[in-house]
Amino acid sequence: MAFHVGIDVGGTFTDLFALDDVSGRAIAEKADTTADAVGGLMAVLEKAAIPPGEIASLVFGSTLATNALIEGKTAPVAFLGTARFTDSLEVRRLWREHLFGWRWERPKALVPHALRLPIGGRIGPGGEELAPLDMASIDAAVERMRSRGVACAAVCLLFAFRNPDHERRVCERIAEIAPDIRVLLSHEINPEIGEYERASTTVIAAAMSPGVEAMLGALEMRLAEAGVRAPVRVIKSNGGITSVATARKKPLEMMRSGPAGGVASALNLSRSLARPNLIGVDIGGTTADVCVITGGEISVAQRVELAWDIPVRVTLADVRSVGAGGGSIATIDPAGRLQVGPHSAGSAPGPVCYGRGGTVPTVTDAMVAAGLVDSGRFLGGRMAVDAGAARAAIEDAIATPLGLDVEAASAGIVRLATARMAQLIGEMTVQAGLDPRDYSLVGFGGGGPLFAALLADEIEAAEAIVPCYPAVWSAFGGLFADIAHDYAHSVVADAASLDLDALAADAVALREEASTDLERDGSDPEGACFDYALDMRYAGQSHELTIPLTGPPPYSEGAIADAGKAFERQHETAFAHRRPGDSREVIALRLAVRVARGLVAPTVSLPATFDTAEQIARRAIWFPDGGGPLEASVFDRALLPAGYEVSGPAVVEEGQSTTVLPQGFALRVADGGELVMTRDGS
Amino acid sequence: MSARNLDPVTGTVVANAFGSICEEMGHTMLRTSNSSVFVEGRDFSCAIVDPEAELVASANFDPSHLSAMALTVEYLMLHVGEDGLQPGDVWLVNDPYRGGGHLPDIALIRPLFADGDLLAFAVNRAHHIDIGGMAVAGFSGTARSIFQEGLRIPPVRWYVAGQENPDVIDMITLNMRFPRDQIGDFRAQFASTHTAETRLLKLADKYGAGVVRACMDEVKDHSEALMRNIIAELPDGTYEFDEVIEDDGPSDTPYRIHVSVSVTGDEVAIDFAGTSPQAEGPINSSYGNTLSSAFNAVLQLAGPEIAFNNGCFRPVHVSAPRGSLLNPVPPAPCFGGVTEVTIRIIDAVLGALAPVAGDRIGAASYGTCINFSGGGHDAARGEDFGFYFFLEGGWGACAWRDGWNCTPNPTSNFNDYPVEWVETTLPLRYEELRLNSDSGGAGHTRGGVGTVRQVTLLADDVEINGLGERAKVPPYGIDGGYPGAANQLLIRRAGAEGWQTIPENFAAASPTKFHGLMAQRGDSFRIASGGGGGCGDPLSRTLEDVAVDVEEGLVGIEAAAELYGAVLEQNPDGRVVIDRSASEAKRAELANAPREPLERYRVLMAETLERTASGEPAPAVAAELRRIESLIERGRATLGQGDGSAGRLNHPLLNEKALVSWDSEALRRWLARRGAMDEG
Repeated sequence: MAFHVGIDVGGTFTDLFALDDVSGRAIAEKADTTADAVGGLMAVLEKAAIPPGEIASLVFGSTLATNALIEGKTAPVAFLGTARFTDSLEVRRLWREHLFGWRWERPKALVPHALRLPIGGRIGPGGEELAPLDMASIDAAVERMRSRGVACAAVCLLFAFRNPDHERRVCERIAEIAPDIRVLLSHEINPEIGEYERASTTVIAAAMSPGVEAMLGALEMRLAEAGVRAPVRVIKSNGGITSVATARKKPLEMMRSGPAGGVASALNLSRSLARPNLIGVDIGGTTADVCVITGGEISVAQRVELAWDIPVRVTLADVRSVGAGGGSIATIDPAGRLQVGPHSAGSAPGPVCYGRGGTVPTVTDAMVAAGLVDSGRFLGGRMAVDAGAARAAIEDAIATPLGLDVEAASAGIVRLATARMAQLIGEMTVQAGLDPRDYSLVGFGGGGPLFAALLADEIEAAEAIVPCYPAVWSAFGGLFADIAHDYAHSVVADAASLDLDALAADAVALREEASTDLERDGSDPEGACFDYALDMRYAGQSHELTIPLTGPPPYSEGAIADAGKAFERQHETAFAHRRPGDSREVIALRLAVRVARGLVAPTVSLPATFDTAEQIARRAIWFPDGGGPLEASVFDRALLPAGYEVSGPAVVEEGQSTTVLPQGFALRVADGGELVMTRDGS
Repeated sequence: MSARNLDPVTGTVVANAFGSICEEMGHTMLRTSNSSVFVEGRDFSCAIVDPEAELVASANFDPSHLSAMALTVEYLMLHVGEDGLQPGDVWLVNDPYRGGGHLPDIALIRPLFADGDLLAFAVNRAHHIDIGGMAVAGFSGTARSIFQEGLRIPPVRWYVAGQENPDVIDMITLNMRFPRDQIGDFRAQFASTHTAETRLLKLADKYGAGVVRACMDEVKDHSEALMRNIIAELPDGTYEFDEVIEDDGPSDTPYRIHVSVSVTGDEVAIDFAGTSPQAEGPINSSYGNTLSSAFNAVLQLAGPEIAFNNGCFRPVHVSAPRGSLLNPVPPAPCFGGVTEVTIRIIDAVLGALAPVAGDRIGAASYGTCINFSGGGHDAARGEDFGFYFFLEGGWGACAWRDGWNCTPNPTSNFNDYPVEWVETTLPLRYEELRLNSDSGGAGHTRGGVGTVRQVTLLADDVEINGLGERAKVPPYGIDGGYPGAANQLLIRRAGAEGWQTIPENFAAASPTKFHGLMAQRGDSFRIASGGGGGCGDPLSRTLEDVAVDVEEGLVGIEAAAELYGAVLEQNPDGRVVIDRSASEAKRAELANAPREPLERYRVLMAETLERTASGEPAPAVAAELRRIESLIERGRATLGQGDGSAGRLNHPLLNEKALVSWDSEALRRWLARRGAMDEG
């Protein structure tokens, strides 16, 4: 036997998904998360009864590092900034969250005033030294850190991305007088223009760094002790994976390691089912998380906000959330309008129907009351669900005030939750010039199968897909993901008069950095794919489009001109106009490195015959189209062989999920066991 | 279909879509415009306005534009009539006396049609970096007439039935100092409304135009209901307040904003009778701007839970006497009305309501944009440059928390320009950016602090212009809280030692309002933005909170003792130690002494109010007021009162807002077009 094991350490549960590559047997298991992450991980491995020696590969993802950051549980960090500018961490970019009203709380600065320490010296906008580095100021900063017991420093000096000399010398001096202090430098963490964003990125990296290091160190040690000999990899925010050794060096890249598991799963599905355009929707208890894959490439973002106006600039898969999960609360606002989310009942007290003390109706309650979910077979019958309580809560809070019956109100709640998710998908596709009709939609997480076809209908996607084991599918993703690293370097120059030699030198420098990371990962850089791109914009604009460069560096004038043409086309697609007379600027050079590992997920075993595949029940379901109850067929997914077809209205039930097939849709079981739903006649 | 029989879920879904469309309009603008005033400054707004010329939805950008946007559409509809609108038209307009705010705010209006019927207007209103006139990048702090402030644009068509009419944009941009960038900005505005067109028509296609129109009514009704709930929570009564504009630019005469806010059930009437007559300098607030400001103040009582649209305004009635500072007649200059006076209108209304709405609002904020603009030639880059800074400051404290530090005033919402961008793109060297310690008014809860920014010029012969406020009269505290610090704009000449105010260095009457002053390479400017007022007695603030304030660099150790009675000591490691017994003694001493900061403020305010402009309007203003009256009378005599059957928007004499805001020229033209008087 050889097990491929994916583990996702979430805030509450540690999920395991393992595939035996010989028998095709799949194992899904859950344990409580422990504070050190590793305890829960070892517990879930034990629960799944996978012999350590038979683990062929292990991939690990976790939101713990980010959670610690958000909860302020990371080690204190000192910020060493250019003297007379250290308050930038409190000033920020100003911008308040809401136009009106005084109830907003401005988030606290990342580093308190007493640890925002001035470094004398100044680099100018051309990288020139305007004032020499003041060595005494470094010593004073170290003394303040010592007296405060702070062992981690984030250094961000003005224009360090143009000339890193002062930052390097700060680091050298600290290494000399206080070698135990961990130092992170802004020109290494995020060599891009914009001092506040660079500073906040560096501080957050510094804050995450000790925790990530400790967690990964313990992980390696405990797994080795337990006899796991397979390489351990970590899933990164960009949907790729890396070695533990490289992840320790780059804590920021674990920022969104949790949701990235879903991204990696979606990328894998895109490849294995040959669906180059795919929208992934991961619906959990509190949120629905959406990602978009176009032409086999995940949409990326270059920044994420930790809190209001506290940005982190790092390349990551663009995963956005909307508060419309199963636990999202339905209310009538003071003016009589039905609202769903963003508040959530979470898992405690949870939906009313769970009977754990929840009193306000949620999306899950509406699902039960509308008949979409069978209260008798919830979680495969392992959990008792009180449908009566759900109905009563919806009646009191929603149906009666709106003058609707319980089922219609429930269908309305489901429709509104669907609309909120559809709106987010629209923002990530239509607003970016992408047409959802060219996409398949994959629904996963506990609630994904319920909404997949409803969402595909709403956004007019070509089809909806529900993968095998949808509830734990995220944990599976990293197993077959590419090793993926992203790098950037600020350029800021007119595209027509770009210094091609300097660009070539930058490209070489990025490649060298990448090679170091790959070697640490144990991959051969020779086998890697190096894709360069330019961030371009019209002169004067402040937002860039990322335009791929063709072939390897060095790049000729012709190559830059071609990129310019591609930029014009993309600008027109996204913003409905070109500006042929305007000059173009290059803002950054980017490098994306991918090492395909050539692994394909083994298929799960399916029933061999059609004999067992018949409906196990029928029940009345109120679909959110508002058309009243329909008599729907109920199927057990475990009994459906490949090639089996079902017409809506129907539901397909399995252990932790229910797939909803509305009227007008047909479902077919794909060869790999995925449920593929299409509109009739398409 | 009416809002009443709309299915509730569809109503919510489409309402959310309206908001999302406006957001997308904004993102299109952010991603395609050129000038940093949009990209970083976010000084633009996006909206959907319905065929009733009422605001339906808008996005979270700059609030100063919002109600004036619908007023501009209303003017357009009255000006050309509904028959004068066709698919593919794109209109431009900026005139403050045609529904606008100030000249650089150019509204681009695109009427949208579904099945041949007017469905809505997509509106993008944006503050252009230059609009001609006497000051580079605007802000002629000493203008005495709107004609000095730049180009006035009545409704003109840039696109006619989908075809570009380049003459119009050529004519406009020839009058602007940075035409290349500004054409890009116009195209971004165009793209933004194009986005709205695509999305709204898709919505109409999916749900039907009738349903979409019904949803427009529904969202207004919904916001109205929420707003009425909030107003109803205020006790009935009439609440009055006086606020001052400390000078008008050409002179140091202050102006009074008097407001009387009457709450009756779930409605509120805001009356500015008693306000000073219109000013000679650029601090007049056009009627549209006054409306925006009064509505903004009422919305401060609420929060993001209320979608901002015309429904919010139905229970709010605003009146401002014609010929006053808050409803001037042309050619009064209006530039600072939008950036300065608007904030003080909000302060006046909130000041009136503070005693009865202390659970929703707080003390006054730094109260200005401290606009500082200028430009010249950058020899190093070989090109002309213009810059425009508008700045954040501290907000007032409220009963439940300290004021926000370094936050844009309530009429704006913007990002600052990063130091590295400023130095990379402009001949300026940034010397300092830090918190303005001790600028927050002391109180049980403390006012937020402002910032200190210092820059040095790296070019010769740089023109500078300013339009700011609250450099003399600081923001008020409430409930015994002390006022915040006033704003400062200082210059230090190259080679000189000390800092001077603008009047100390130049022949200028005002420390913040000036124009065309010349500065040189090596001259430095320091802008210290003030803090918000405090709330409650500073002696009741806990010693621990004061200690944190000192450790955070928000309050100096001396101020901690003198204002809060907190005797503290700061160790070399930055930690602050409280001397409890000394503090107790100090607090006892201060409790029995007169509260000097409050007393100083009271005297200053009384003296300033005493000096405010008052009396009869100037003869030219009086003449315009008479012209307007006689035109209205003439119109009524010729056209009658109308029976309303032609629709409210076809008849300005039936329209309350048109009657109080149109100038004689607009009225005369309108009457001529309807044959009620001779053209010409």
